[in-house]
Amino acid sequence: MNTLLEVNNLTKSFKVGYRWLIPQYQRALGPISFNLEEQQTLSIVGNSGSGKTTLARILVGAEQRTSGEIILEGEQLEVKKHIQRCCAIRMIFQDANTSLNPRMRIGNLLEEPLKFATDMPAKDREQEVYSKLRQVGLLPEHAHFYPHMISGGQKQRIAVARALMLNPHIIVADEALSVLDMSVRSQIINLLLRLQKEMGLSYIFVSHNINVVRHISDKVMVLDQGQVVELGDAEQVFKSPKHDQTRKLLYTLGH
Amino acid sequence: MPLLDIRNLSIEFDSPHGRIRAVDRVNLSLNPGEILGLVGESGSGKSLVAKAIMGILTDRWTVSADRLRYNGVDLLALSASERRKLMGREIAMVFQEPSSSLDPNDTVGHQFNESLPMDECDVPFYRRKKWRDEQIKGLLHKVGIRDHKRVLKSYPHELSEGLCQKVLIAMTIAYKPRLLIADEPTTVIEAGAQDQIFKLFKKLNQLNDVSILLITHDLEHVENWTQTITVMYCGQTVESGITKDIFKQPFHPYTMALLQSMPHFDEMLNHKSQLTTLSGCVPSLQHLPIGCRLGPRCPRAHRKCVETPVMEKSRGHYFSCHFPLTENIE
Repeated sequence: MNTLLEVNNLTKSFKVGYRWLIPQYQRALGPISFNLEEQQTLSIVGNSGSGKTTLARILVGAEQRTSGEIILEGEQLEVKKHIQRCCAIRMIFQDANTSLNPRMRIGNLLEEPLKFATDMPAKDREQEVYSKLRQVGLLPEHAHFYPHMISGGQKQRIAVARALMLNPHIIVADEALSVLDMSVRSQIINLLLRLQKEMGLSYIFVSHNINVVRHISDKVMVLDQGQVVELGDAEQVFKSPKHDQTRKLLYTLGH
Repeated sequence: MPLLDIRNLSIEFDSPHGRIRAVDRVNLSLNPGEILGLVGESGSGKSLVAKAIMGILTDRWTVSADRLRYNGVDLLALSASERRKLMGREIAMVFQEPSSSLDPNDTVGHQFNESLPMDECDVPFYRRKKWRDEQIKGLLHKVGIRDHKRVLKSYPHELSEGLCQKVLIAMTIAYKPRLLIADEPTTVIEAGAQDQIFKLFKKLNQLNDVSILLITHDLEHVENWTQTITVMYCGQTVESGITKDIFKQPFHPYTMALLQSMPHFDEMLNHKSQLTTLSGCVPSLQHLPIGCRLGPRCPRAHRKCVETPVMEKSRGHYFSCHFPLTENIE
């Protein structure tokens, strides 16, 4: 399998204030190194404040890294190269209800990434929107609906469709499943698994539901206070956790 | 005698499309000293049931029930002022988003002062300040907050959701209620703190003999923390019984679907295989199906399902289905 994403010594520090006019920084994350292969799912688990959301945000470019390098398909991913990044790595947000603009039709919402990142003519854009809607199990007619007209599960499908819009290689989902109802959640899990098989997508999941993580992921990374404490095959990590923090997590999450 | 006894509770409201029955003949009974889980997806009317018990629904909603009794007292027959006396003192409620039910303009300590039962205070006025501080300190320690000084001085936005939830629980137990209604107490809370909250409920239940109605949308949560469960779908009770029995042998297809929809550790499930799930989504209130509301999504639906099934009982296990999973159908 080809290595799709390679992260080397990634760190992130936040400014916490000044002491004698010298800015003080606090290391929130890293150094972190990992690889992600094609059609693989990497899950990031950890307690709140362990830096898992920060890592996800750095990968999609919502936050800038302090040092380290990200190599995507053999190419350096520069901090400022937005088009390259946003075509390859897309994100599904936590709450579909609030991440969709209520004043735009679903068709226009899905069209936006195409408008900004490509120079596709309007006709093709429309076709692309329709095909993506079909892929996530909705109908082309849904493009004319406003977000309030559809149900919560369908909104999450729209969020997935929006992430798929530019044919990315990697999708980052930050707690995208935890707010969903049970039956809708399994529908979305099924959808994500199906899309992975069909399109060869790689996922980076940030989640704290151990059962779901175990079901869908190939690799698991356990973070604690910005450091990787355990990284390995999902089955192995869950069957024989090596680090105390992992054991604690498995225990508090019900196992 | 059950502490809370509800028979055929219906909650309706008038819409431009006619009268809509959001909660349809729900049954619940909660024994003293018990933790009851009320499970259902969003929009299944579980919060409405909780609000109806508390009596905090607005005038838009019509509540009717054959029996809505708390400790032998018919709640619907009480006047507003009599009911107000029960609210907060006998029956207390913890709301969904903890940080949004605290006043953002005021420190936690100040808000806590307002919620103390001053009519129980029997010290002269010049020693009341100290009495209050002692009470607050004791309550906060009881819910597991150690650095009470910092918490009391801070504003709600400075605390994490888990801490806010604990503060709210401490406020509600100040009056020593006998029934605590917890409406989705852990949905917005980070995973580590969720466990703490449930442990706290368990402790309150065992030490102070508080009965708890635990409302949640996640079946995983209630498995370890409750004695009995009632499952709701679209405003109808689907199944109720002892937690262990339901997890072992569900009678209703919906409960079965919920159980199957969460991948389990010990189950033999192929890695990355498709999960079994119900097709479609929860119908909106304007387009509710007649009869059993699960009908259009149910894998075992028959023609008979257009009639609303009657609650049946089998060894302390109630279910409402014409074709329960224990019976074979051809």
